[in-house]
Amino acid sequence: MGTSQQALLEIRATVQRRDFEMGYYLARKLVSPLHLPRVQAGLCLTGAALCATMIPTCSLYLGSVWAPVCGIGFFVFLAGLFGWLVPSMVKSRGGWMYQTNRTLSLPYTMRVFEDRFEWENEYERICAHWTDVDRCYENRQYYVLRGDLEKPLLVIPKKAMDAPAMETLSRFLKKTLAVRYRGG
Amino acid sequence: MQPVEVTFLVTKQDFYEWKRALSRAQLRRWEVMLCRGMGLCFLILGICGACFFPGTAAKTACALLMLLSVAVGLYYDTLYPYLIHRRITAMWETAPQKTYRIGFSEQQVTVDSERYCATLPYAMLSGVYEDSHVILLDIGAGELHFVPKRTLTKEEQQRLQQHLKRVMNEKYKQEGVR
Repeated sequence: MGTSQQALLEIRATVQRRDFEMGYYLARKLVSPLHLPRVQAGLCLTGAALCATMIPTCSLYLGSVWAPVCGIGFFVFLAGLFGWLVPSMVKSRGGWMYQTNRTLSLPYTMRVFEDRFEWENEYERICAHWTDVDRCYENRQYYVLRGDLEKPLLVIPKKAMDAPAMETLSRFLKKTLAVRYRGG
Repeated sequence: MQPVEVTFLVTKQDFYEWKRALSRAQLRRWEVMLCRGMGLCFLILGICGACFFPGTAAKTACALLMLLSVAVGLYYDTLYPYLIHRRITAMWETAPQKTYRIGFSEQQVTVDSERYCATLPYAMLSGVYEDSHVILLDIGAGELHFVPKRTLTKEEQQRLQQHLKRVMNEKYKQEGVR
């Protein structure tokens, strides 16, 4: 599978249920700015504000403010849905995925090379080139890789790494994956 | 059990059968029943409306409701397979060509491809689904492998079915298998 070469980094980690939930959520929310809960909630609140500006007009011409008030209620409800309920639903789906796949909870070792990475646990071994990675997401706690990797997501918790290793990996991923890299 | 090992290149037909089996395996029975139930309710409402409400507008609304009932009720029998087919065709265009070697032994399944190899005890599988064309090995969370049945002889298929039934128990599902 892999060719011999000096590894830039070797990471040993175990992904807990919480890590996978957060990694799954991170991969969902960083797809585009429109997937960010605060952007979605903000758009809904803008809709609510627009409805509020209609109150004087409706009051003057229709003699009732029920329609804009209902609009405000509807948009505030949507803001709550996108800002709070949907994120928790996405996280629970991640938790469910973690629960159904027993290999996700196993300790793994990941070796990072210039042209590829090797990932292995007790039962599986993946050797993928960086061109196989469609997206890489990073925030303060995790790196998440997704693409044609035979696994739905590869979550790397930063708590398993020391500061220089994190800095090296972040710089390497930014440089190697370019537009496929998204920082949170 | 005598080990069974197959090596295959994923063809377009295999890919199509694999994804179709996957969509069937993931289909929830209650969703299908709910759709059919809603379709039936809309149909009854439409018929009742057409019988009891006079006027062209009411009749048109009822006719539209009946059309909607057919679309909703038969969604999983008509539109859904078509949408799945379209999606699979689009996926095939970008799917990389892969060769797999999959082996079944008494204790474990081995999967070997260009970038991935695994030796998984049956206990690590979250389920096995078999239809008339493929056997899906579900590891869970969307991670799965498949064996096209064209690569197995009749005798190997029978041996494998018996073995999988024994080791997977209720996690082994068959559909449309003769």
